[in-house]
Amino acid sequence: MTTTTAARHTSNGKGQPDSQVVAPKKSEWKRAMRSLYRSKAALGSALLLILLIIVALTAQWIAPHDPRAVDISNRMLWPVWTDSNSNPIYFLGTDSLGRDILSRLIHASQMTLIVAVAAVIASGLVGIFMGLISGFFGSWMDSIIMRLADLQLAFPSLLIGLIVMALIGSGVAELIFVIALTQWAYYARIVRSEVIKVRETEYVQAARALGAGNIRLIFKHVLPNALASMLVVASFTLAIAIYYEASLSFFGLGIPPAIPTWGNMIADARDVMLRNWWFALFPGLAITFTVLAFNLLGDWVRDHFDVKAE
Amino acid sequence: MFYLANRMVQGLIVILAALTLAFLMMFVIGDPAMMYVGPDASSEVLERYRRSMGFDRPMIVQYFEFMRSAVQLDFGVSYRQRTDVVPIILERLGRSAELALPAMLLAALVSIPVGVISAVHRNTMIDYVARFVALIGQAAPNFWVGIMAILLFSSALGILPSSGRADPGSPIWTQARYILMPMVVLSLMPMAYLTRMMRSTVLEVINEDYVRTARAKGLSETKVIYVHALRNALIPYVTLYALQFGWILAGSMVIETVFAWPGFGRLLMDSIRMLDIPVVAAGLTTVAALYITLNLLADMLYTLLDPRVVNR
Repeated sequence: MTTTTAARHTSNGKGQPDSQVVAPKKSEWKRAMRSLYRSKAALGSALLLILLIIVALTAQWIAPHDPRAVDISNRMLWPVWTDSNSNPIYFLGTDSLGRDILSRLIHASQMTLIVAVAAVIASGLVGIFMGLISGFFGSWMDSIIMRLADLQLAFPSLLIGLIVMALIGSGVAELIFVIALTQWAYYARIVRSEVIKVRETEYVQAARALGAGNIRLIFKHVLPNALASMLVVASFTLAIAIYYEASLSFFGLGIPPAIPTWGNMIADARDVMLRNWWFALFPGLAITFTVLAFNLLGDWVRDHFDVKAE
Repeated sequence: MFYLANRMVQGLIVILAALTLAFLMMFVIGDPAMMYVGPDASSEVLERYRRSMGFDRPMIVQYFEFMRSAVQLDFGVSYRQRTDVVPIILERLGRSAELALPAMLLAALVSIPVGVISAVHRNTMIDYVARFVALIGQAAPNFWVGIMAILLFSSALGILPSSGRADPGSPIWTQARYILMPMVVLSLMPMAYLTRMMRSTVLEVINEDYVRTARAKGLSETKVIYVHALRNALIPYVTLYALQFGWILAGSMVIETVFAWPGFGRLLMDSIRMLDIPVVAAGLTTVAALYITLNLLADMLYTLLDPRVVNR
């Protein structure tokens, strides 16, 4: 942080020699922000996701009601603009137990983001670890790990998720584990190919000759180079995690039904959905637009950093 | 040729691994004998059953026994239905095809023209609308789209049946009414994906030299696009199309469950939830086999269609 103010003055100038080490990093960041600003889709997605994060963080203050509070006298109220008999304090109506749909939506965003972010971190860490082992040790270790990755990619990941959840039981940690289980291979492949690429370069062989160890190599060369590709995968993993959380919860194999999540809300709606379309509509829209935003952001990261899709 | 053989061996390894996983699954969930006899049976009955089914033998013996019969397509008896697993699976696969094949056909019929038009009229209103709809189609969870479709077309408008499959004896029109909604919903995800792919491959192809040559020759724009550009854009498309059949397998599990369609996907979903392991084992193997075959097919199609790719 201390170097950034110094760099700001020089990076826009004609490049004084002493600032050149810092300048590319700074301008790279600026370039990314400018490109993000130019791409309307990506900018809109970023703003939507920031809004979602704010909503999730402030859920207990901005939600008008307790998401679990049952109000039997106000069951199945229609959204306010569709029915003059509905109660204006329940803006999006209530579900079959009289719980406020808007408050449940707001609180559900917390679990959605927790699961998504945790799943990305878990699958990323496992994938990076496996990729590093695979790339550095090579030989039979490499074969085993890469065959494992192939094996895992040879099945529809939703099928693996459903089976494993059925075997180990539903729960938040279990769900994160399952998503990581179906996504780690993408990170592992990226990191492995980066290790192999970097290992052969002259500057790394020179660095090694100077006594640089593996740890230094990993943090200085391998991971920074793999970062752009991993960012692309990460934004798609976020979308996939939200999708899977919703799907698995919908089929009763994800987050326990007592916790409000968007998938659970749609599952609740299925039992009584003959007339009450709003039970399912709003959580579905929330999932759709969140997934859409992560997808668009992923597209933008891929185009901006010019990452070749696998 | 070597490449193909290599791929086939890899495919076999995946299937063997799937079988091993399936075998392990039987023991993870507990005593398989208990699953057949039920939790209320006396220990004497349980013991007799265990011996008659061979569950008392060492694990490794049972493993090879399981693998041997699986290779002969014998996956034992369903815990739930008490009949042989393989005929159940075959029957259900046929019913799934009733949804999956028209769904994939629909996906192609929509995605090819829309992708081409979207690319040719790049950055016009048509392109924006097509791209936006495709993006939404990829992001909307298919089980939710199914539910909303039921709400709209069955509950509100009452023009289509909400779920199930018509009697096989009923007139073709009645059967089609039951197929229509789940089929369309099932096709949306591959349709959206393929439309985006078609658009981007046409955009790539449009700038190639041979397209410029075709234009320079004075061919009409329609001919340039639909004969010269489209034919080349279809090469990657066909490969991706074959791979989307694999996706349809996962999509069927969801859609058939939402629409109560008695197909393979719903069988797999129910069996997973009820822990009917023999069916899950056979189902998993079926999925692996289908997946590998489709991947191989996609590869072969690619080499067939694009003579430049001979050896990789």
